[in-house]
Amino acid sequence: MARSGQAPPGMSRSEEAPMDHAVPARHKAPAAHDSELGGIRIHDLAQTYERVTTREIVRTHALRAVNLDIAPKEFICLIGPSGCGKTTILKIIAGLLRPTSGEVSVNGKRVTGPGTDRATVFQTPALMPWRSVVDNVVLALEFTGMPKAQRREQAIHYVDRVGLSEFYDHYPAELSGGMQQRVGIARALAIEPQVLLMDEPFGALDAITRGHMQSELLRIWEQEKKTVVFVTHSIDEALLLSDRIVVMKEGTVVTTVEVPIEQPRTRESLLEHKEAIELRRELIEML
Amino acid sequence: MAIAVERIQIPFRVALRKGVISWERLVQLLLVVGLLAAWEIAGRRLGDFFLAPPSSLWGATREMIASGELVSATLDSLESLAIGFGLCALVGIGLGYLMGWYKPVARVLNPFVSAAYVIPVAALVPVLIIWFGLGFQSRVLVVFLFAVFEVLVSTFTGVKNVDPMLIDVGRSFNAGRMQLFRKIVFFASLPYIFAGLRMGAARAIKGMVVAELLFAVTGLGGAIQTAANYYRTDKVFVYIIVISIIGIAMAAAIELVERLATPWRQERSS
Repeated sequence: MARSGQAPPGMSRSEEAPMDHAVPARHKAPAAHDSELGGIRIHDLAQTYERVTTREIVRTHALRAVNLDIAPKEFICLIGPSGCGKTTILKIIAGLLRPTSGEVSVNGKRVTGPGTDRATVFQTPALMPWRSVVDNVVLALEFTGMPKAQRREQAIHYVDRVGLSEFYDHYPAELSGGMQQRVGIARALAIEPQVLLMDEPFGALDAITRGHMQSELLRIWEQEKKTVVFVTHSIDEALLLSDRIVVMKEGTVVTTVEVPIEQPRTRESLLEHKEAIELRRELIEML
Repeated sequence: MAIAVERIQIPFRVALRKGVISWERLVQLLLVVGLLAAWEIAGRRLGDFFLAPPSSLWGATREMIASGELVSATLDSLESLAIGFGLCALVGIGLGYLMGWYKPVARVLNPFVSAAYVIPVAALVPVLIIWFGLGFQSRVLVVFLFAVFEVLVSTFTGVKNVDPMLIDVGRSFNAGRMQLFRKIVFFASLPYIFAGLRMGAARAIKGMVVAELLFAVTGLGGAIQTAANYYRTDKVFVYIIVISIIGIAMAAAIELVERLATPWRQERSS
């Protein structure tokens, strides 16, 4: 794996925080191998929100000097307290938000707006209440311009994939929160993106459902290897899911940490895993 | 996934207390009976020409149906109501969408809408008569003006209140602006539009009667005027009841269309 991230290979991690984001004196984006699509490069990203009142201009620096390289097919978690800029990064990668400065590229191509190479699973399921489960997925395919004849079949395939075969014709209001979020995941998978952007997708679920959804996501990810950028504020979730954890604070990357445990992991195995315990302790201290 | 459902019978006394047969309902019933009784007694004492008692209305209704005046007045009224309200739905929803979806249109039109909204339409009637005469055109226009702002403002509000998250979903899947409107905003704003149409319908009926009373002595309003001139209070009451029935029927019709147009909103608590 030629991983061009900041974190040195293996299990070592950058110990001292502020050093890390100063690293990237990168020259050129490595040409993406055709088989290895979905690499993301974030270069010197900054986002400033400005609120202008009659008497003053209030600037909020949501992101500053963020540098991050994400390898194709890597599962990465952005973790940090709320307001640290995780969601902002995700929105910029999705092309929903234009950064104040810096740039994001996917497959070496600069992101200037939304595109079908990326799909987002939102914090709330954000389903269309007037469309059934399958039709919600079909809608995404309508937007991405898939020919009408193939849409339904494709949608059903991915609804099955998230385990909702019995609920094709149900309206979102008839589903539980966990099931609604499954539809959100099916919708994102259905456009067959190279990059899956997930913004605290399980944040609103109860602990039990959340556990099920995490296992489910791992199972799907095993089948559909994609680059995943997953925002969370749960250390356990990050440890369970990701190859690498990006710790953020106050709008910038504090450090990135490799998770040296091979998939498939389970919540139970992590409880006993020595390195996992150690890593969890470190992360708790950091956050 | 099976979800356990349990049914528990509620004892009659508890049901009574919980409001299935509440004392509020009982008081309502007593009020209606008491009112009708008082009306009946007062009517018989004061005489038909001053206050026709409820018992006389049945006879009056039969007389009015036989002579054809009830049907012709009602049809006459309904014609201006239908055309006026149809126009109002068309213009109100159309303009509401335009204002909601294109911000500059809203910024330009907003003060005008606010100004027009507060003008009492009845105050415009004299000018309308000068411009459009005493006939059908003016009646339709009054119906239209009475109701159009309710529909317009509701539609506008509906488009503005579409969950921005849903728009983000559309954008993230690369939807074009027209697609966002046709496939998300249009549906998301339907509940507001139907609320506007329901309010608009009530106002349209008021507008219809006002127009008929004030200038065009036709339709139900005109018939009320004529009946009152002959001291036929029984007929007046029959016409008023017919107007209420039109109101109820229109509300029911709009609700039916809403049910058909937004099927996803009923299954919620079933």
